[in-house]
Amino acid sequence: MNKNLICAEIAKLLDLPLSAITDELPISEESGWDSIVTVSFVAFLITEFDCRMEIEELMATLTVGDLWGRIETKVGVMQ
Amino acid sequence: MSLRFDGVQICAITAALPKTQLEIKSLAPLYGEIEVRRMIESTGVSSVRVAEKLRTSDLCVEAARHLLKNAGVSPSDIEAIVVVTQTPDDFMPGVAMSVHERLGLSRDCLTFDLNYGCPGFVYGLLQVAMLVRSGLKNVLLCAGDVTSKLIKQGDRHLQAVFGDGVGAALLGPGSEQIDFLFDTDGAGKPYLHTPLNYDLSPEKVATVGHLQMDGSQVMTFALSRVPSMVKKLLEQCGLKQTDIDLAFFHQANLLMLKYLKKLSGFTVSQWITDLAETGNTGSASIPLLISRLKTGPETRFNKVMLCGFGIGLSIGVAIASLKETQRISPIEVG
Repeated sequence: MNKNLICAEIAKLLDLPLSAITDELPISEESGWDSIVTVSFVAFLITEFDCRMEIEELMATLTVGDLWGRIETKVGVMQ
Repeated sequence: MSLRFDGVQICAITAALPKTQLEIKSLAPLYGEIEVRRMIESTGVSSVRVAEKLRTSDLCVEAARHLLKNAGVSPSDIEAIVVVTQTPDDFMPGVAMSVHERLGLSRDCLTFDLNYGCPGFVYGLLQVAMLVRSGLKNVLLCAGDVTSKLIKQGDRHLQAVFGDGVGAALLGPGSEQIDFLFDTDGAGKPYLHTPLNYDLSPEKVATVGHLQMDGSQVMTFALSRVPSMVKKLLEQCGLKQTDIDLAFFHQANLLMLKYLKKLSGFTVSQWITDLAETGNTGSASIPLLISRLKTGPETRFNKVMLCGFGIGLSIGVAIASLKETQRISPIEVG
């Protein structure tokens, strides 16, 4: 799994520069991560990586760094 | 469940849309400009049609009249009518009864409803194909809803994507075949439903609730199951992906369609998207898509895939030929 690809998708969905996608970035309304971004991101994970993440699981994730951990437990270590 | 029906022809297809349009950007004072812009970008829906006072039967009648007139078939020749809807005029009897009366169909005409949503056109085709194989010559199928009537005021995600409309098709005997594949997960029932309250105590009456949808669950179901269903039906029919001329998928929303196209392996030339002006019209979306399609003489319709998914949760996929099908532009009603 390619971490850069996921970062690029998050940047696109949040309308932020790639450099803004850090481990500390909160997954919350304050960073623009709303229900549309959530649904879009879940669809992206299924399509690109065959990775199924429940919406509730994603919504319970606090930061992007936390998100990497959850994804890696599903599909293995990211490059 | 897979099924094949030989000797069934889809003779004509059209649709009826309410004239009244709701521009999604007009919702900005309610939900904010940024939110509305983001909804339009993700759903791909700029406007939807709203039935207002029109009922499902009104749209069915106009779609059917438009279809029969253009196909040159008299209402007296219709031997069966099936209406697929989840927004009936009344709880009972079914919409088909009203359509039967208003079209002046014969007493011999078999008349009934099917309660089905977004995959409903494919389920309706299955039912009608069975009737044709049983010996009927002219069978009418109407599929669609006035979903706007079920949406709670303020439910922006539903209001910004669901539109009203009805599709109609005429089927009869012919040299073609239709292959079907179905998938159902009844445990997904809560993710897309409209509750009915049967509390009939003296103080209360039975009431219909608002449409409730967990869009992420429906999307996860569709992305997880539809692509494998597409592949399975192709294999069962001994076809390759490239043998499909056009793929007519239920127009749920742009985001889902984008990912379904990629996961299902269809090319740009095979894939049809058309929901910007009509939104998600439920079981009407496939016939609406077919009837609105502008094509050149080079476009082939020898093998098309029809795919509906949603309520249930369930999926219906069919492979049919539309090469002899009369595609009639939709009519506006109201």
